[in-house]
Amino acid sequence: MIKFNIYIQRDHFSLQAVGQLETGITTLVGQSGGGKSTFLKALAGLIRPQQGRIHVDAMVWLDTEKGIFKKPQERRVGYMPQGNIVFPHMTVLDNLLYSRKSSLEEARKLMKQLHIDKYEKTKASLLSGGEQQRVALARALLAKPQVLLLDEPLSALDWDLKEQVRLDLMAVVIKEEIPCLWVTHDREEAQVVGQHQWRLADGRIISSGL
Amino acid sequence: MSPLLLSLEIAGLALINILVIGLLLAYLMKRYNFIGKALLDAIFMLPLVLPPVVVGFVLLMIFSPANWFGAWLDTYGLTVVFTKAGAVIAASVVAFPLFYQTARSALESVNTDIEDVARTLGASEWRIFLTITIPLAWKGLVTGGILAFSRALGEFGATILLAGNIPGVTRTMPLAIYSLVEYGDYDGAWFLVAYICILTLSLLCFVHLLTHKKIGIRL
Repeated sequence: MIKFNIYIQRDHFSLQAVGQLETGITTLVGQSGGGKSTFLKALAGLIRPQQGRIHVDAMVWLDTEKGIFKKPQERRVGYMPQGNIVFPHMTVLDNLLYSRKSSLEEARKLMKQLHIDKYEKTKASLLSGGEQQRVALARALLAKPQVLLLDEPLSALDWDLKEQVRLDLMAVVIKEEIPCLWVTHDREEAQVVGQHQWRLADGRIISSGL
Repeated sequence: MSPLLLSLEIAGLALINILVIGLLLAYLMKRYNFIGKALLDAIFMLPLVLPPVVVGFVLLMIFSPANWFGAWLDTYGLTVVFTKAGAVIAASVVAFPLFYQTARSALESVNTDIEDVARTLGASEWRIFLTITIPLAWKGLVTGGILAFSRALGEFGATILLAGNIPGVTRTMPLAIYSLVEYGDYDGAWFLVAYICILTLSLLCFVHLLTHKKIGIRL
């Protein structure tokens, strides 16, 4: 479980986020430009909140009062930003083995589960949007994260691909039994995917329950 | 040493300086925001817009043994003025902005989200630079390197002020052309002009092919 109480001030908005992320998929919906991606980056350690605390079990990732700030490399976060974010110049297998924690055996198993095993030696940039999302998810999971952060994982896909990719992502994420925050602007997607649902409104994160 | 070989040697050494310093500075400018960044950026670009003679004069003032820095180098036996090292420094400074500007654009065109993902996968900044940033920016870096090398080959104004025009030591092709014209040897000058034109034209054609995706290099 990841607990947070952070305050982020940016040029165009401020964000106060208090809550805890439980095992399973939690969706976060909100308007574009409201700070959803910023919140995810703050959890991943890619930006530094002005104030607050983040801790995962007994481990402190952020405590501004004590001057603690763990870098993303030290946090064990699986992060999938929006868009096509494979390493385009590498093969699918090289993408999956990028983390030093990845193993070939696990990579092959996960590729099979996500139906990308036939592309093992294909350059990642040559894959379709849906296949690239699968590669990105597999790569994130192979780093053995304590929490998974997915920023609009289906937004770059055509409508006919979304359903299949959604089912594949959900199946693999639920199996991992780790907390997963799935950001989307699509309320319908949030309801279908999320075991827990949050809303970002007026710079605050509100738990809206099931 | 012939002016052609000397030019290639000096431009080659200048290119090494430019690649190391330019890549480091372009990366730091991409990665960090600080007060005075725009001013520093303008200073790095200054040799591009200043007359090379002005650059040469400033370098001469810096490296002259009559001034403190040149005198300090002199105490270690390092002499820059009227030496090959001076020609390399002059070519490096004048050609630097061409690489720096292209390298900065190339590095900034790399999607920072991709680098961020690598961070969350546990990669160090150095590993990200080598395995993500450089491979994704290589086309711009090669283009910048070729442009800077071509510019270094043609350098005249700063070189003649800092390094002089010493046959076999600092007389590069442009300086040799100048000397031949001065002596009235137009045939000799034409020969070198043709040489330098073909060489730089070939390099520019390579850049054109590279930027128009006619050349694929597998990484």
